[in-house]
Amino acid sequence: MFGSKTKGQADAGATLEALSRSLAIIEFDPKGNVLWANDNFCRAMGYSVAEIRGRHHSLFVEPTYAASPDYALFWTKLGRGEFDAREYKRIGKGGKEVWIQASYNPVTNARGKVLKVVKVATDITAEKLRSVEADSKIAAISRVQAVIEFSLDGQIITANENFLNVVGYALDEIRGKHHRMFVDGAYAQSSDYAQFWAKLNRGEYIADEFMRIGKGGKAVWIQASYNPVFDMNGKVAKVVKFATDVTGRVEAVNQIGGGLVALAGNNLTYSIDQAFDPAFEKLRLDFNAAVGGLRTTLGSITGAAAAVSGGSDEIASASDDLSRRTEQQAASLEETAAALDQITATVKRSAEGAAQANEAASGAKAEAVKSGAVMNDAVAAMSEIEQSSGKITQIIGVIDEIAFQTNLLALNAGVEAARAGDAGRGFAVVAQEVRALAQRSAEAAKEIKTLIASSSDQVKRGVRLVGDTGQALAGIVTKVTEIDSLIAEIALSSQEQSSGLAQVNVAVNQMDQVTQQNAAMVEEATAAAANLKSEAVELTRLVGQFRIGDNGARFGRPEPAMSGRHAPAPNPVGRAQARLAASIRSSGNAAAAAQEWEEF
Amino acid sequence: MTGPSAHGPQPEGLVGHMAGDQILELISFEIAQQEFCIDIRSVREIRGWTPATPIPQTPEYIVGVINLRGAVIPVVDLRNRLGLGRTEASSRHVIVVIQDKDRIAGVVVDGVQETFQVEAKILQPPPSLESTSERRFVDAILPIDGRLLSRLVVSALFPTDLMAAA
Repeated sequence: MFGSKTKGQADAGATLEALSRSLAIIEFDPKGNVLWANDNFCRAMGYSVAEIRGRHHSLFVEPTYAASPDYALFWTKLGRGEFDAREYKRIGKGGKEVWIQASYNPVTNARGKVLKVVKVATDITAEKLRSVEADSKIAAISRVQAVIEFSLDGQIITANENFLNVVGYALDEIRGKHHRMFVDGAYAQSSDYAQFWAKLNRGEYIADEFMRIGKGGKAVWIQASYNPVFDMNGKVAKVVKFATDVTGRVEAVNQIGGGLVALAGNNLTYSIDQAFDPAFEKLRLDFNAAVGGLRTTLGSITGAAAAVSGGSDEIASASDDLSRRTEQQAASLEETAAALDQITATVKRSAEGAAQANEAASGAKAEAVKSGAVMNDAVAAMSEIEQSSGKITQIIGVIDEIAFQTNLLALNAGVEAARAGDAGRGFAVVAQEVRALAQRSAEAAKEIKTLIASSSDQVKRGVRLVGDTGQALAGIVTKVTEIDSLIAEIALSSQEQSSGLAQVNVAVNQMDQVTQQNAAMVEEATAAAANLKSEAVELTRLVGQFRIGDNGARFGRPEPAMSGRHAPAPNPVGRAQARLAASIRSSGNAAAAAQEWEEF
Repeated sequence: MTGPSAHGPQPEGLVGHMAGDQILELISFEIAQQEFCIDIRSVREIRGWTPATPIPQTPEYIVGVINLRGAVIPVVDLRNRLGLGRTEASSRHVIVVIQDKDRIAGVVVDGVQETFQVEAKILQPPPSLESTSERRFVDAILPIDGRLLSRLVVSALFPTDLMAAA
């Protein structure tokens, strides 16, 4: 269309074609609908010609803008034939932002009626983005940093809000004034200051931390860089100073430094109460917390040291007690050992005595048995005597009988003699004498018989006595046997006692050894406890060098954690004795006694 | 039977009393600690105790009979006959064989003491005491040395039935 209308004007067409090769060109009808677009435009927006032909221009703008009265006015102005040229933000295919440098040029006919609008555009998106980035960087710098510009002689050209806030002046108060108003008077007069500006004038840049004087003489610390700005010809045109207010940091550092000095001086009561710059407030809080923690810890250590000291005192005294008791125990054990030795000797003696008694009893038994045999012999002899006596008695009987018969014969003879009268007179005399003899024989026999009878009685009695003696001896043998076995048992018991005592002796010796070792160990423990005590004292002294304030002071003399911790250990033996004593004494006294022991 | 006895005490006063100086020869024996005597001429023999064969249906004082050299003679328990109890015979007892005319019997005594001679004048008549017995066993009392010997009547000693039988 474009070509067909201008076919007659070849020169104008060639110009447009030339423009069309480098520029993006699009044509709209007066309502804003796309009539045509060249390749550059399509490439810039990402659409093909077919996609956008007949579509309205609002396709290329943000919907909010398309709906705004400005957009309507924009087209109204174009419809009136007024051109519009500037940078535009347009939307390409897929929502891509495209910045263009464009001019909307209404094309009018001879009567001034707008036929169409030709828009000639250059894609400046890249440049626009760079510019925006640079602007935003500058803005960002300006937002966070204090910026001030000086002329080469040091006069203030301008300053941003941040700088004004840092120094406390309004822009009007400083514009046209010299930089020296921000520095210490003495320094302003110094050659260093002159050198400073000379360096800047030579185009050298200076970056450092500076102390500057704000409004009302307040000290302001800044981290700043003085940057010479060069003109097109490389000459220094002005100086831009970018500064950061580091007053808070410096103050914080100073305060922290003071705190550290106090810490170095063992002062743990120090705390930084003045609030820091918010950026460093955490540092202050952390410092305070650290010091507080240290203080608390040292307070605890102080308390612990005191407790250790107290504990070591107790250990030392307990060790002393233990040592003393161990000595007593050792002494008691020695006494026990001595007593045991004596008992052992006694038991040995009694064992020997029992053995001797055993021998004696055995001898007595043997003698008794022998005596029994002798008794039996005696009984046998007695019985023989009895038999002999019996025989004698028999013989005596015979003699008596003979005497009796002789007597009778003599009597008969006497009778015969009497019968014979005078003739038998002599015979009668003989008979009488025979009778007398017989009578004497009979009397002698009777006497012998009596004697034998009494002897027989005595023999019988002797036999009985011997029998009794034999029985008594048998009893003695039995008893002696019992005694023998009893003594044997006693001997055995003594032996067992002896061996048991030997074992007890060994045990007591072992106990003695153990007690000796205990004593040695207790001595070591006592020494160690003494060391511990002195170390604890030293520890307390060392910890006492720290000032930890009233909060810490309560750790200095800690109360016992448990009541009754210092109470003496329970005395089980004492309690048992107390119970024993209580059972012996009346109940009232017993309670008092128990209390005594408790106190003990 | 005359002439002084060589044995035993013979008091002078006894001889010559009672029919002149008649000498009596007696034999004394003992029963139950009592002394008795009889005329020695009535004694046939003195012998030791021999067990007697008992005879049924005889008086209590008849011990039995014995064989004396072929002659069977009765044996009288003199103790029983005299009413002094019973004799438990032993070897120490003596049987005195007595003879009265032709009667022979043995009497058991505890023991024979002696033969002696006395003057008849010392004999004294026994006091009249035996009112109950119709037979007299003692005809004289002999006081000798403080002792009293009773002289027994020999004929009275024989068993009554035997006497009758004879």
